[in-house]
Amino acid sequence: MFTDEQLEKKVQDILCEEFELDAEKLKPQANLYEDLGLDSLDAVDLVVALEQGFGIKLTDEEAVRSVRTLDDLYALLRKIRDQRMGS
Amino acid sequence: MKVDNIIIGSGISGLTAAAILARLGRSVAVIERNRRVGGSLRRFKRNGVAFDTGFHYTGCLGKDDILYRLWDYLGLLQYLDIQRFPDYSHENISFFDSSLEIPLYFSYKRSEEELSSLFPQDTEKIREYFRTVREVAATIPFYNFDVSLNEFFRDYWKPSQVPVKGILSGISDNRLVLALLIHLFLYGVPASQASLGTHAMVAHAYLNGAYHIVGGGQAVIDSYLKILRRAGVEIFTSMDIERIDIKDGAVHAVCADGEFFRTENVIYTGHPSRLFDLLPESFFRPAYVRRLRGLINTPSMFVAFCSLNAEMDDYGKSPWINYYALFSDEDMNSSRHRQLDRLPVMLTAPSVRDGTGKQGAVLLRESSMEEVLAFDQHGEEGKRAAGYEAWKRREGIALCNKANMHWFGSDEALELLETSSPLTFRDELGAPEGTVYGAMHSINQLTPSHMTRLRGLYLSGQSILMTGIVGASLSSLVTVGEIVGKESLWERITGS
Repeated sequence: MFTDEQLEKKVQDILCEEFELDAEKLKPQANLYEDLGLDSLDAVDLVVALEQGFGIKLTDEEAVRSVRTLDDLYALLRKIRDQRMGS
Repeated sequence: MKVDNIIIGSGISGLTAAAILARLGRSVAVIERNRRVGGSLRRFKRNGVAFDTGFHYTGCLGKDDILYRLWDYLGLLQYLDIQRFPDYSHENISFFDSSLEIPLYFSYKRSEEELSSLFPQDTEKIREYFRTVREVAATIPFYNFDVSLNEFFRDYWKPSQVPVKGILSGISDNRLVLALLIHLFLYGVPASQASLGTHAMVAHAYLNGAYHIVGGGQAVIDSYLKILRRAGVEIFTSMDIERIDIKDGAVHAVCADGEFFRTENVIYTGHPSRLFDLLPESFFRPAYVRRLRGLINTPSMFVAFCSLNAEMDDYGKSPWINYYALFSDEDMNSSRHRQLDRLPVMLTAPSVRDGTGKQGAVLLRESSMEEVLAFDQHGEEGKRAAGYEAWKRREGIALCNKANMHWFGSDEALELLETSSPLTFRDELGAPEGTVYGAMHSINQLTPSHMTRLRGLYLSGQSILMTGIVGASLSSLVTVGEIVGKESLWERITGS
């Protein structure tokens, strides 16, 4: 299981390597779309990359769609992690 | 040369995209690598017998159906003789190890009746299955013109996580499960990975009626060529694309065989994994490149093209029935690495339905590159190692013998004339691994979008929306809609 810190680091690695984003821009408040320049097509690839990177399924469409900032994304992944630990 | 839209590939998706754009008065050119137009819709002859490579029958050609409406809009219908399969026609599911024959009719009502009478203990499950397929289909705009296209496309790339097998659990007789899942053959996804959404999209088309086109897929190609030529669309064959040029983040030009085509839009209908042969990979996000390159494909096929030495009727068979033979413990999962003699076989006779010409039938079974690897000379197109022809002939005869024994009770009903292998599909159709339905539309894989990051570059084809002649045609309808306005195009075609 990932600690919070490892989880955030992994998300940042994915964004740097798979989306060629600048590590310095990856602040928790950064908006994925407005600040980091991802678009709706990238969102699909991000879902796939996160699913593969974390070995999870992001099946809750509404939850995925409501993600705006990096912080939102961390929170969603923490929630999924905690649910898995609980089950 | 300057042209507003360039279509790469002249299979049914390329021809459809070109025809819609031309119908709207846009300037279009089509570039095809092969020397002949039409991709897997082409028909060929051996010993005077006509054979269809990839197109055997289709749904969606009833007067209120989407493909009919599209072809009507394009002005193709005047050239086509479309015949609805008669009421008695069906998918005939039979078994190598059981005498039972199960008919799955091209009608919800009749299928439900017949299956319920064969499997009375499973009547409830049978009803539930057909009801569910129908309900899912009613949420798909191609079947229900009242459903919003935009709403549907917001999520279509994400397959429903509901497995189709889920609604069949509780059925004790595996032979019934196989009959209900027979449509898996028509989109090439293993049962364990098939989603209810995709399955319903395919199954519904056939449960509403099946159609034959006199002259086969070739008649469709020829009709398209008539309207495209009349509209002044240039079609270049035997032309290899070298690259697509990008300028200011948008498509700028296409270079092919030394020709330079200045253009605004490119619709690429090839396999998505091959896209980066034409474009600088660096333009796209690594995640996107990796996803398209890593798409898992539907299987390839081995096909035996046979002459029929008597009328099908003489053997109590009908060209309006498609025959399937399986083992009753078949699981419909991927058969790679499986014993070849356990594979399901399908027999279909499209050209006999024309009612003229010599009689011939097509036998199909799954195949993969592993089977032909030894004959592939350094992956070089058209180059085959010694022994390839002999191997093909041997496999073809084995398939023929099996079919003769199983369906005709005679060792000379079918006689082998020609075969095609995964290498044939790969090299003739530009299909990686010889895949016949392109990338899988399965629970485990997202469908690539028709939109790309590069302005002016769009994708279409079997891998993008759905498989088969319907899937590939609709894929182009959606893709072109993105260029010309989806909702207004939809209105013109469906009238709603």
